Amino acid sequence: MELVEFIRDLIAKVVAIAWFVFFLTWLIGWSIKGSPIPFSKVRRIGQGFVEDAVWAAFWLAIGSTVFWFISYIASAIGEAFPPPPNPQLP
Amino acid sequence: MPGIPYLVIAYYLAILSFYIGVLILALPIPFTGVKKWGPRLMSDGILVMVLALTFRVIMSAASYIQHLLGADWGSFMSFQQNLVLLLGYTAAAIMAIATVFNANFLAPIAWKFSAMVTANALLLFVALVIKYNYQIIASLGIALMSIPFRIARGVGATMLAVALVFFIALPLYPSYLSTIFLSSFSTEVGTYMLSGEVKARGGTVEYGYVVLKACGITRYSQIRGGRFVMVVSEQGGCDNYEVLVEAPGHLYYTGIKVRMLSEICEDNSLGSRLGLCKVTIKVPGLVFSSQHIAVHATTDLRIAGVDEGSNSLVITAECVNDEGCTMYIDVPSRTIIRNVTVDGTRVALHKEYGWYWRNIAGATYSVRLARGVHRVAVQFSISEGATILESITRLLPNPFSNSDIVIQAWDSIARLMLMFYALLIGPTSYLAILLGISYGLARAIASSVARWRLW
Repeated sequence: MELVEFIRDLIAKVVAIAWFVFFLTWLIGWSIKGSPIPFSKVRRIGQGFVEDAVWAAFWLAIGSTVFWFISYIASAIGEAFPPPPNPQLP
Repeated sequence: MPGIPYLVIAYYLAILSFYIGVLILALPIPFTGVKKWGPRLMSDGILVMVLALTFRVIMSAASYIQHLLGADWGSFMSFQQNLVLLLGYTAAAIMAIATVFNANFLAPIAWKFSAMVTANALLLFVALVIKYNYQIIASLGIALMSIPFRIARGVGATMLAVALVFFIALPLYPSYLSTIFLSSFSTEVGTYMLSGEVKARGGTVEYGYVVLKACGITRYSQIRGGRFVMVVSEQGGCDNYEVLVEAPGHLYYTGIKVRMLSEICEDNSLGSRLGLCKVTIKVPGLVFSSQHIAVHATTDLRIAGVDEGSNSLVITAECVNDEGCTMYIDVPSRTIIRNVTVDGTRVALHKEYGWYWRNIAGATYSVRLARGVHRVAVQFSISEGATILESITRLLPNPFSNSDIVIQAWDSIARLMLMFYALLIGPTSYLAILLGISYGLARAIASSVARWRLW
């Protein structure tokens, strides 16, 4: 299906860009945090960049595992759920 | 299962929104307004993925709830189709009458009936759409919900909620309607308009009276053209209603004997709840009955056909008893039997007994038949100047001559008016209630994401 192919293509691109952005943010974050400026507010922004980037990297790495886990749980529920009762004629 | 392509799209869109959320989370921008979208998109993606993957479970849960509530799509659809057809025919008939006779006073009634047709047809149309498409609507709703940045989340949640609520609750409409009909006016009225055919073994009964006995009270209704109409009220404390048929000289059992008047009604449909009751009365003892001549026989004489002329009667019958059968011919005194032939041979008539029915004198003659198929022809003539028969009607208490006829008529009119509004407001109010529930469910589905935080 074309739309599905398009979305999958988009996903691959987004993932690649996300990894790239993660490295960029990580770098920017550390350079702001380590820059020799005396404003603690600016340095806290750098700290926030690094934290967010690490979280993003974590979710990027674990993403497919999350999806697998959800589908596993869903299929387990689907197996366990009883089928609807058929009305019995008296 | 239909709707699978939409679920596949929803699945991949969910993954896409998850990764877009991660991307936004990783953006090196210090604005919290933009950054907030990251976790939001991630949790959206996970919720929609759960919805898409548990779609089958959701649908079986919906049918489970439906079965628990006692709903049945098949009976609901046939109920609604019959209702729409009935109302449509009635509206068309009223309009035709109004047009042909130029009766302007019928216009408001015709207008009411067409409004009822519209309301019920609307419900039927919605039911048809939901019945065949609810899975597609629900999966399309999930697919719309899964578009990143919550662009169509409200629309998608509404579609999912409408599909679920309507699929579960629409078949409950007959019980919803019946609560209206049962609660307010069926119980308090207890007046029934019985109508229907009266059938003897040789066809419909053309002349006679339907008698309803209820604990000492007797009501009569003349049979006209094989049909009868009778207005009767439930008698307080009475638990024995019996229907009999009077034909010249004799009283016949019909086998209809009930404890409650409502049990006489053939079908337990809307009409009987409104007190419009259809009854088919079978008179096993009677073969034929007209104003001038009636024939009855024991059940071992099987009737194959009855041919009625102006002054003759030909009955084809088979006797299945080895000892022979007897056919009884009942005639009032003004009818003179000229001759009776069995299979072309003239037979002598044997007079069994004379009778006096109401104010009519008459006699019953018998004809013996051996085993086998016979053709019995009766020739008779009617003496002039004897118009006593019609005077029976004056002797019998006519159901419509009751003093409480005004009350009964008012009852019927009030009930018909209530039926108008019940059938007009019933479908619209039910649709409104379901839409309200769907709105609430849609809000619950859509906002569950906002309340749900991953960290």
